[in-house]
Amino acid sequence: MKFGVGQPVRRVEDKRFITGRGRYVADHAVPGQAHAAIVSSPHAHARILGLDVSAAAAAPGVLAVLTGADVLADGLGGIPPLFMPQNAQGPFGYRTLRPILIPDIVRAVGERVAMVIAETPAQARDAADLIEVDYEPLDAVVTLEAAVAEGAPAVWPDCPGNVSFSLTHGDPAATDAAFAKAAVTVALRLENNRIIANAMEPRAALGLYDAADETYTLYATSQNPHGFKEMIARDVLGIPATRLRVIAPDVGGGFGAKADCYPEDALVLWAARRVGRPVKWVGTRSEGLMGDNHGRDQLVHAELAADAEGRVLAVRARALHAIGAYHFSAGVAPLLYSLRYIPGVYAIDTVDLETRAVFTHTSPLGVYRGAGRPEAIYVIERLMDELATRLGISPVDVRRRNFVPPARMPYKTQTGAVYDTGEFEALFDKALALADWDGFDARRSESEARGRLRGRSVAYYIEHAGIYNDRMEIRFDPTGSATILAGTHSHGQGHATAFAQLVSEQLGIPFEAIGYIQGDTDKVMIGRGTYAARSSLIGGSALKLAGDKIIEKGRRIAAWKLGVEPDEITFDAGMFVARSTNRSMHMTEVAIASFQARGVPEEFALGLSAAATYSGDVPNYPNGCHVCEVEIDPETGAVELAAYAVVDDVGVVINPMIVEGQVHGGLAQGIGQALLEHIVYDPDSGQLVTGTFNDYCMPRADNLGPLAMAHHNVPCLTNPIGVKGCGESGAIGAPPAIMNAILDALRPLGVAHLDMPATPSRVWAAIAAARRAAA
Amino acid sequence: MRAFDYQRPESAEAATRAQSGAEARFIAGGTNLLDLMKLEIETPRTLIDISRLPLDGIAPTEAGGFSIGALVTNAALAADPSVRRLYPVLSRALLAGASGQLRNKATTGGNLLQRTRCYYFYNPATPCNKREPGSGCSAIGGHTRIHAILGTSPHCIATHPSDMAVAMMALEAEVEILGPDGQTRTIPLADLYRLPGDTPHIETSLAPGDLITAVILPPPPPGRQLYRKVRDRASYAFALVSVAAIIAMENGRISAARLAFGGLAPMPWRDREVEALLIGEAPSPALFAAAADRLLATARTEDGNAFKSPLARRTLASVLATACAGNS
Amino acid sequence: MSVELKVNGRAVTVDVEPRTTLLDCVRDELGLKGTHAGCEHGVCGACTVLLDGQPTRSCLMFAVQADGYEITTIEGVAPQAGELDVIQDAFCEAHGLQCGFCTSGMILAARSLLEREASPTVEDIREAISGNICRCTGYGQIIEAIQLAAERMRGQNAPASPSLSRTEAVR
Repeated sequence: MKFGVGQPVRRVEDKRFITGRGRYVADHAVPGQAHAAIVSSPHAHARILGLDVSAAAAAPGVLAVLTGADVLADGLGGIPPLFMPQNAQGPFGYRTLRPILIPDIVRAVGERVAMVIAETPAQARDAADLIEVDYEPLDAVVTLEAAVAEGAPAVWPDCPGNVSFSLTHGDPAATDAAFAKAAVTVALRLENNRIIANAMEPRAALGLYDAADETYTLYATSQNPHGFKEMIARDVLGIPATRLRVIAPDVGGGFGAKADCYPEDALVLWAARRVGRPVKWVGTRSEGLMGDNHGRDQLVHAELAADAEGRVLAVRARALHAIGAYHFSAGVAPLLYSLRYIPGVYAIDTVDLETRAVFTHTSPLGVYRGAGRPEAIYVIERLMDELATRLGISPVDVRRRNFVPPARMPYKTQTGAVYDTGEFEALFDKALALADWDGFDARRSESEARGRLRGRSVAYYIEHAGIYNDRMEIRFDPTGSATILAGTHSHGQGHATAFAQLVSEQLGIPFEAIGYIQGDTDKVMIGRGTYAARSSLIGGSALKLAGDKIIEKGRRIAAWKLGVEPDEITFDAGMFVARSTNRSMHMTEVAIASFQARGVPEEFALGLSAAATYSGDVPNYPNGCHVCEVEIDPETGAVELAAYAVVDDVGVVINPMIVEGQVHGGLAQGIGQALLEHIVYDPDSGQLVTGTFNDYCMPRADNLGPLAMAHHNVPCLTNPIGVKGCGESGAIGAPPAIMNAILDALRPLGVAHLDMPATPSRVWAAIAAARRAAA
Repeated sequence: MRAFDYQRPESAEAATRAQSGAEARFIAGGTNLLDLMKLEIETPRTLIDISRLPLDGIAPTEAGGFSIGALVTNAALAADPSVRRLYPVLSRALLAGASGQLRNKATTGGNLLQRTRCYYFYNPATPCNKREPGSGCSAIGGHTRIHAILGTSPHCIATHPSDMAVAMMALEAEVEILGPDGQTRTIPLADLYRLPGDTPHIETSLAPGDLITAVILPPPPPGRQLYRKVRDRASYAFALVSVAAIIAMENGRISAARLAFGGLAPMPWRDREVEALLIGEAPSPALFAAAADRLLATARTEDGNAFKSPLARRTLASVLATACAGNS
Repeated sequence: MSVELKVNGRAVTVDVEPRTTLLDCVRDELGLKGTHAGCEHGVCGACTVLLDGQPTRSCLMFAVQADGYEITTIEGVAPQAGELDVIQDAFCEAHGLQCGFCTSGMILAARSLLEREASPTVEDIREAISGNICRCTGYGQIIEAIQLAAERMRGQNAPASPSLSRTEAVR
């Protein structure tokens, strides 16, 4: 079937993007709109002693200047975290409420202090520059170790020591015992660098207020419009959610950073009410780097115990994870996953894992592609190579000796994850073959002849895809065409295409005629958006269940029209066939019949539609293997990806073209984390050093080398369509693969350790230090 | 961005007269100035658009070199057949800088005059003597990965970001300047730049109204020309260390040597003593090490940029080895 | 001040402040929203337009500087409304886009490349788009799209099935 499941169908959403007719939030213009500019804090930690807005208020075109004091006077709330550990029977954490404008103490560079609304963007910006804020700077901490040091300045006075909570997994006594009897132990201190999503579309918000019926409308750069609606209505504005409509139009990438609302999303609504005009704010990239949620920023002391053959007995880890100045968004999630997936794909008898959530004077931690899984897999995969090195065995053998075998599926890890499927060793062998693992020596000799160091690695990831339930609806119209109403939200993933493929195949209706609606809280009853690689699983499964209901109802309608009993009707490839007769009806005809103005039996209700929910409580476990070869110029420390092979198990594939794009894109972000990307704050002043794209390096086309991709797909058993997630895999597998390959190249020189990002200067410094030590 | 008046004079002479007023700036490609204006680090009241002036030609000089109009774009200069053939160090340096799209707009004169990429210079929330004289230097004791180790002062350790200027320094280029008095003068490129001292906000010897109209390249010197740049990624990154080298060999010994360095100093850096030390000698690792010792004798490093001394050392050795090999 | 521009073959006069960038001008004055602001500093390439055929950062140029140039934005790429040109079609066919935000700049950079080089190598393509950041695709399928477009523009092409060994092309 040309448009069915498994086909590389051209995306239906593409035409508007390739012709420049996509409509992102910043592209929306509504009559009478005014423009907002934000005044943000230049200090990492400071008390606001005074704020003089008089010059700004008098500046040309200015309609209003709003401050934290106005927020308090209007009785607005603030933005709480999406959840805390205590909401899921976890330990009690220090809960924060983030004001939408700061009235008293700023706790990070970039905190929003005031908002100016003016006739034009330039006037708003000009006036914002006229606002005089009198700050009393206070001591700040921006790094993990400084934040937990004795006597560190407290981000929150009633949370001394800056630790909000600790999470643990495993059995300390059993782990101690395993370490005591182990033939070999290895230990690493690993930094997982602070990075940022940097979707190419900066955040923006357009707020409208209708004074006549006291309703608000928000156009938001959102991965999750219903989540925005719930939080802004309930927690910030304090209004019934019926009075707020949130629309997420075309969204230019998210990667987690647009999963939850920010102060500006609420500010434009409030400002629209205050000035009686629509208010639009379009963030600059500098504001994004300062004020968007960041990802990772974790420091781990990890140890592994093994027997003499390299069988892993136990893993112990003590981590610090920076949550920034507030618990915000789903920022707790990375901490949970960063522990839970440390066992990876290996059968490990016991673990003792702990992480602490540490406040720092920085932008808050949010979810970023992978959210905790990259941290976890980085720990175990670095440890596995360390073990192989210690024992003098190959990284291939050490992994082979520890894989969870298919015979043990479903397999419950020591951290409570239950893997339903996975053929880790078979996939591993496929990856080694794809990468020509055994031909490495010749390639290394060739590199060495050119004065280059060559190293290789193999890393295996597994991840937790899918979270939360969601609802999908299929709604026919009187002409017989169908529309999908999605609770998920596509911002590049191609859902309009992939979901239409699913429905076209299941219901046998023409792909081209299927409509698609998402991202509007007035049109879609409820939804949870897209993040955590959840949409193919949860959206796809819910859609399948909705399709089942359509077929069931269609069967009854067909029976009525064909004059037979429903149990005599079969359904296949779009046709309802009355078994005992030669009569049949197509799904489209059945749908049209359901809308007849007369004669439809009352028990059918008018029309043909169905909604269904899929729970998402059971995640799926995409997994795969990355084989990486790097070439390093020892003179400069420059690392080049000489070869890269990936084999993934993503279960049933709906659209291979989209899956390839997801894997490749995730990989680029993983490569970025390993080699280039780093959000740096000045340790003394707390200033953001990497404040523009000049300073924050991301992969460009010439940073990425040859890539070989293949699949070893094992259909998932715990969902009705057999899919597994694919959006995060590349970002999880690449960092350990690249770092292990670099270390493989450098170990002969005496380099034992390196942290991300492995920039040329860091690699070079490591080589130089090793040479000095050897001299 | 602050509002400003925009003028587009019809002639270079008119432009120089217009710019001699206070707080006026020339704009050509604008790739650096416009960026700085967005950040309100540059806040000119008047912009004088010189981009249409007829200064975009590349012409041979009587001396056997070339005169490059100040408005020749970096892309056009890099692609010019004479430049590629006779001054490969220049064309390689140009291609090592920025991205194709910026090179399409960035001009020769503007490239020479681009401002530092110091993070603190770019961050108005932090003190910076270059941005606000007397406010202090945040880089010293701060994050200094991209900062200078030669020619610095206690007031500023910013680097000059140009690749092109490094190559031109090795080529002993001269800068042709039209003054507001209508007089044209020519100065060595080395004299265009000023070290920070206690006035890091004064970066060049240009007076108000001075307009760079051309860069004069002398005839290509004998020897092999190389440009090597070490940076944190391939495209769109400024040099941690770069070396422009022009090395001639005779009978197994270095007969002529010119070296200029980027990423190390507040201006494209040339040290004649290093060159003198090489001339007449046979290439050897010991000689290259001695050259590096000489180059770095006055280096002053911070924790964050101490790596640049050994990086410069190794890069220099590697470039010299390449330049000397197969060049006899 | 008043500026006369020639955009997508059409002469227009706009009245803008001198500090209006070409980017803001085409978006807000001309309503051509397909040119995007990604970084405002000339680093990301989302704001790329063609100026006399050369890819240029519209965020690093004032509108007043642009008069007299032939400006092409993404809206001017297709031969006619409702049609796609070869490069646009190839981006769709090879899935050379995800969120679409960088796509205008990528297509214009590709167009400039293919106008001067009919048979670009993968390295040529990487270089030509290295000034444009894409955060979604990892570039592989963009490179394939440009190769596909080049192939079709050379007229040697029958529409290839995109399922054919897609990774081979990147290798």
